[in-house]
This record gives sequence, C-alpha cells and structure tokens, in this order.
Amino acid sequence: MEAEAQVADLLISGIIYGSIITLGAIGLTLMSDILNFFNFAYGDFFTLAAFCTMAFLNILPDMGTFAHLSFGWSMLIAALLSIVITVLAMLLFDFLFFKRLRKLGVTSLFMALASLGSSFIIRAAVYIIWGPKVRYYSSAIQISRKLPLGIRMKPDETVILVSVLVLVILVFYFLKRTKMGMAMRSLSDNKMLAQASGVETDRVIMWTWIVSGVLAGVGGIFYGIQVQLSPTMGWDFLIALFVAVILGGVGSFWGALIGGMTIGISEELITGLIQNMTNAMAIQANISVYKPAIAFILVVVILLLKPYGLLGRKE
Amino acid sequence: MVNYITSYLVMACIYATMALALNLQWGYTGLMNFGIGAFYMVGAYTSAILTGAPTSEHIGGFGLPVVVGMIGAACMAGIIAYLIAFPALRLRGGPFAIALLAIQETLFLIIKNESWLTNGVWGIRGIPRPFFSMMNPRHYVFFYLIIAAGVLAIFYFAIEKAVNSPWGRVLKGIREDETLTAMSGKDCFGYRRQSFVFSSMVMGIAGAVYVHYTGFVSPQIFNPLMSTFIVWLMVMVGGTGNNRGVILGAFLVWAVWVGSDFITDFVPASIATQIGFIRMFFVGIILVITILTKPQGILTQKLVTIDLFREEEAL
Amino acid sequence: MSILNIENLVAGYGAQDVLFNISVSIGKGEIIAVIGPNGAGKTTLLKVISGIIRPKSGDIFYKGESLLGRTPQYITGRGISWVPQDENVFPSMTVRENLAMGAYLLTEDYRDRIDEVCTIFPQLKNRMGQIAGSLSGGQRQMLAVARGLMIHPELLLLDEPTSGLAPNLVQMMLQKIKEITTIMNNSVLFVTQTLDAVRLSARGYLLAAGMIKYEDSTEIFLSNREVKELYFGG
Repeated sequence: MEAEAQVADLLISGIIYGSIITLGAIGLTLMSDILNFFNFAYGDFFTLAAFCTMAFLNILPDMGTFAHLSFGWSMLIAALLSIVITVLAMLLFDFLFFKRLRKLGVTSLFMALASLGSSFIIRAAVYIIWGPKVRYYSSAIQISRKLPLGIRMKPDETVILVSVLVLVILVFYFLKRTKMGMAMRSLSDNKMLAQASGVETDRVIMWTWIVSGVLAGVGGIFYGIQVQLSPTMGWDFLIALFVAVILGGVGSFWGALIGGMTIGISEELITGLIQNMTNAMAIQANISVYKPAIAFILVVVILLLKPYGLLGRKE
Repeated sequence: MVNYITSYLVMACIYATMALALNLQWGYTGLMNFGIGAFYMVGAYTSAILTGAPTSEHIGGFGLPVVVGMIGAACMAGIIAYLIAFPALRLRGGPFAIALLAIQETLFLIIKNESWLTNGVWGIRGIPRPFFSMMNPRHYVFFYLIIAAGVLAIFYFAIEKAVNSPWGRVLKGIREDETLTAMSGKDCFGYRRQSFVFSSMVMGIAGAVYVHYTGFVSPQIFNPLMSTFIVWLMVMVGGTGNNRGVILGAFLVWAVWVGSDFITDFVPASIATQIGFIRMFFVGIILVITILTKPQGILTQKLVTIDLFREEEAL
Repeated sequence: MSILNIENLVAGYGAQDVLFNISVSIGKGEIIAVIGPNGAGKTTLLKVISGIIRPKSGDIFYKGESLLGRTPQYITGRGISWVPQDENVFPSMTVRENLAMGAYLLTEDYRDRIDEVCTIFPQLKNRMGQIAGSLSGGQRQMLAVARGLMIHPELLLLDEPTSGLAPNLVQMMLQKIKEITTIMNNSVLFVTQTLDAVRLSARGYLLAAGMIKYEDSTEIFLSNREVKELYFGG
C-alpha cells in the first residue's frame, strides 16, 4: 500500500513537472523550427520571469491569498507584469542581436553561439541584481489535499495543471485557427512557397518570439512555484526542454507535448523508483541529482530508433 | 612578479591546448561541443587517480609515473568520446551542443557524488609533479612552463599536419558538402568520429597537464564557465579555423581573465564575491559582439552559397 | 500590350551566374513557353521574376513598373503567381489550408474563391481535409496550380506543371490551363519540356546555357530545325 501510494505520488509530481516542461518545449520547438537555431538563452528567460515575479510580489501590497492557494491577486498582477517583461526582453534581444545576425546571414551555429552569450548576460544580470541566495515566492508551506481517486495534490499544483492545459489549448488554437498561426506553420513547412504566398517572415518571427515569450513567462513563474528560485534555475532546466523537443521532433507541436510529459514523468518516476530501491538496499545514494542523466539516456535511446524524434520530419 | 607571469603563461599554454582541440572539433569538423570540459575533467581525474599516492578515501593512488597518468588520461577521454560518438554524432548543431552539455553535467555529477571513486568534493591531493623533488620549489613553475609549452607545441604541429594531410582534406570535404563526400565512398561518420575522439584525447591530456601542475584536483575547478565556455571565447576571439589564431586568442583571453583578478583586489568585498558572474556577464557581451562583428569562421563554399541564397531571399 | 518585360537580365547564385542577358516579353492574355535542357536556367528565370532571387543587372517591368529589389511578397501582391516544379505545396497542411495560403494576400473572403477554383479542379472538392503530403502526384500538381490561382493572378508562372504526370493527366492539366486563361484572361509563362504545352502557347523561347537561343511564334518555333531535333526528337 505504501509503495503504491509512492508511485501515484511520483506520477502526479511527474505530470506537474512534465506540464511545465511542455510549455517550454512548445516554445523551444517553435523557435528552433522558425528561427532555425537553438536558443540557449530560453531557459534564462524562465529565470527572468520567476525573479521578476518575486520582485513585483515584494513591491505589491499584501492582498491576501485565494482560498487554499499560496498566492492571491498580487501574484496574478505580478505574473502578468512579468510575462509582459519576459516577452519584451525576448523581442529586445532579437532586435539587438538576432535580427542583425539574420540579416548578415550567419549560419545557425553562430546564432546558437550568440544565444549562448545572451544566456550568460541574462543569467549574470539576474545574479548581480538579486544575489546568489535561493528564494521562494512565499514562505507558506502547502499541504496536499485529497482529490477524487485518492490522488493527493497541492492546490497550487492543481492551478498549474489547469493553467497549462488552458495555455496549451490556446496555443493550439492560435496555430491551427488564426491566420498568423497558419502563416507560422506554412513558413516551417515550405519557406520559399510561404514567402511567395505573401507571408512576411519578419512578422512571423516577431509572433514566434511573442508566443515563446508568453510560454517562457508562464513556465518560469510556475517553475518558481515548484522549485526554489536561483539564478541558474532556467539554465539547468534547459536540458530537460531540449530533450523534450528532440524526443518529440523539432517543429512538432504534439511532439513537444508528448516529449514534455514523457520527460517529466519518466524523470520523476525513474529516479524515484531507483531511490526506493537504493533505500531498500540500504545503499547511500542521492539519486535525484541524476535526473538530467535519465532524460539524456532516454533521448539517446529514442534517437537511435527514430533519428528525427517521435513526430519529427526530415529537415 | 616574474613568477606571476610565468604561472599565467603555464595556464595559457594549457588553455591554448584546449583551444586547439576545440578548433579541430569546431573549425575543422563543425562540431559545436558545449561539453568539452568533460574531457578536460576526465583526463585530469584519470591521471590523478593513476598517479596519486595510495589513500583509503578513494580508489586509486596507484602511484604510477606521470607519463602513465597522461597516457591514461588520453585513453580515458578517448574511450568516453568513442562511446558517446555513436549516438551523439547523429545530432547536429544546437542539439549536439546541448547533448554534450548534458554529458558534461552528468559526468560532473558522477565525479562530485561518487566519493568512493574521486573523493567527491574534497578532491584529490598530493598528485605528483614531475621532477618536483629535484629542484627549488620556487623555480618549479619555470620548469613546468617548458612542459606545458612543449605539450602545446607538440599538438600544434600534430594538428597542423593532420588538417593539411589527406585525412584533413576529407574532413574539409565533409564539412563543405557531406553528401558529395559520402557519395565518393568516404565513411563520413568515421572521419568525424576520429576527429572527435582525437581532439577529446588532446583535451584529456590538457587536463592531466593541469593536474600535475597544481598537484590537486576537485570538481569545482571544472565548472562550465572555466572549463568549457572560456575556451569557446578563446576560439571565437582568435578566429575559428585558424590554429595560430586560437592560440593567440587563448593567451589574450587568459590575460584579460588574470587581469580581472587584479581588479577584485580593488573592489569592495560585496562585489568581489560576485566576480564570477560579472565575468560571465562580460564573456556574454564579448561573445555576442565578436559574433556580430566578425561572423566568419570556416565559411566554406557550401555555407557561402547558403548564406547568399538566404541573403537573396532574406527580406 | 505587354504585361511583363524582361530586359537584359543577368542573375545567378552567389558568384555563379546562371542567366546571361535574357530578354523576354509577355503580352496580356498570352501564353508563352520557355523550353530548354536541364540546367539551362529556366527555373532560375522564374525565381528571379517572382522575387526569390535578386538579379545582378538588367530589369523586369511588370505593367510598366520595375520589379527590381522587390520582395516575393510584394510581387505576388501585384498579381504574379509562381507555381514551382518541386515542393509546390505545403505538405503537412490540408488541401483547404493550402488553398487558404494561396489566398493569403486576398482581401476578400477566400471561401468563394475556393469554390471557383474547385470548379476548375473538381478533384480537389472532396479532398479538402486531406493532408497535402498524402496526395498522389497528379493531385498534388493540381493543388499546386490551384493554390497559385487563388490570388486571381494576372501572370501565372508555371514551372513544368506536367512533369511526372501520366499522359492522360498531362492532357487534362494542359486543358485546365487553357480553360483558366480563357476564363480569367491572365498571362501564362510556361517552363516546360512538353511539346503539347508549347502547342498551347502563342510564342516560344529556347533557353540554353543561360541564354535565349531562339524565339518566335509557335508555328515557326516548332518548325525550327534545332528546336525539333534537340528537344522534340526531330
């Protein structure tokens, strides 16, 4: 009975973790596909969002909390402001650096290196402004409540899950039903034909940054709820995002979804189970630190079987 | 003062060796490896374990000669490179970079956590320095400069010879037009793997050279900024694809780095602790500006055609 | 009245020039054929007209306006529609979405236009929800041309629209193109290797090694010895 409860708990935390990864994976897969390079600074925008939220929470007056949740109206306002800042920051970096590099026609590898430099800039800025100590949004500790089916989830986590679901549906709707979303898909499908059809690449790129920025903003805030805030939180998270994108296939919305949930659930489940095993065998080991390794092994295995990811197509 | 300059030169030679190896991977083979620190670290620890004095704290301490340690370092780095080549070399660009990043992180975690092997965060001390007992300790650094410079020179000539040889020409062909080269019957994967393994071995030896200089090794030394990204900065500044250029880049960047150490003496204590991240900030800025102003690298014929095509359709 | 006037065009990729001093003119409502061996530069010519490639020198006048330096988006907006030879549809999007993309620059509701285009290509009517990548070769060609028609083009650039099609489909496609021109009174620039396509045209150009070797009205064009021997087997 105890062991089963464990697995269910691991599954739940894996789903929550996976849903946050999914947000980032969708953003990253869109950017990699349309902008044609891997943005190493993406994780750090998560960090930026989380820290901005914390900063706003500190300035805003205490407006109490919503029932059962650890946050209230002040969090909502802080979150909205932070998301806007995150999107603006991404657009700024594009304007200052990436757009120029695009016009110069540099290869995607140099764009990736430029994004690496950008990630240093953001990460260092966060550290310099806010210092190295880890933080939390609030000191309230949440207790899991019982939901139907014997699932135990913290109320905060329920909000995360529902919000991610809503956001994913919104992005899907955007891609499938709006004209800009269709333009985005067409650009990724057949760039020359899209341009010949009248699609303005600069506008599509701007919207790509906006959508990815919103996903990074929300993802960063949620991630900050789940783990403690530190300047490297987003950078450390990037590996999981990358793995999810590769798993699902670059450029695939559904791939990002499947990849994100798979990585989240398997990281939690596998490390948790191995930890149970080592505890049972009285072996002294901290398995959870090896989470990135699990994700990595998973993606290596998948790539050996399907070189373009589960739902990817040949470039 | 002379001592100080000499020790700067020793480290510069070690970093220059790393830069040469990275240049072979990136400039000549097109591998964007963000985990080179892993091989540096593995080489360092292998040599430390093989040559260190016996101890009950961890495995190793075989007390073997330094030369054996260096060979062991090269072999270990090479073996690891060979093993990960199969899945990793299927990836390109950004995904490859972050895969190597994940490997570096995983290896770092292993070395940090598996104390039975490496003594964990406490590190390994008492690593023998060649001929140390034979001379005045204060003159040792001059002697070691000869070793470090010698290693650098050996690999400079070796790599120069390699890239100008038939082997190097095939590599160039792979870089410029892999499909064409493959069609003429060359095993492209094999060539890329050879380059990858060889350069990783060079990095391993660089790590060994480092460890026999300081006599001490611990995981913290190999944080990504100091073992991977600083070398990338050196290669970018020096001009990718140009072996003499990257050596110059190494000496230049290391001089700036060491120079910034001076500055910490004049800076209030509160900022001094943040110096690591301040450095990161400037590395980021320099990296981005370097790419914006000199985006060449090995601009091969094929890349030139693609760039121009993109320029023609880039609107 | 000429709708397109290409004058002394020089263009290529990077350092490599592909077209040397090309001059072509197309009249309103005219069908023109450009034939020539592979690698002659026919596709490049279409890419230059549609704005994908910028010419090195020379000029292109469309209804009197110079297209030099214009983007593909602008050129399409002016009424020139390009249907490439390969990769001429959006493979992961549905037939309906492909047509919608064809109407991207259309200001009015495109649904009526879809109905119009479907009367020309009725085979597409029942396949609206099908993913373009899963269409057969013939269906894909039809979709490609249909996509190009959505914008009410005044000049249609067709790059080998019948290549890879079975003979009966070739006839059907050519017939459709004739139909379209009659209904819409647009001009067509055909790049083709097919004799029947040339027969459809008013005039023909022979493009070889990047240069116009010969041009004339179709009847005389087809009776030219070089044309007959080299390209249509005597």
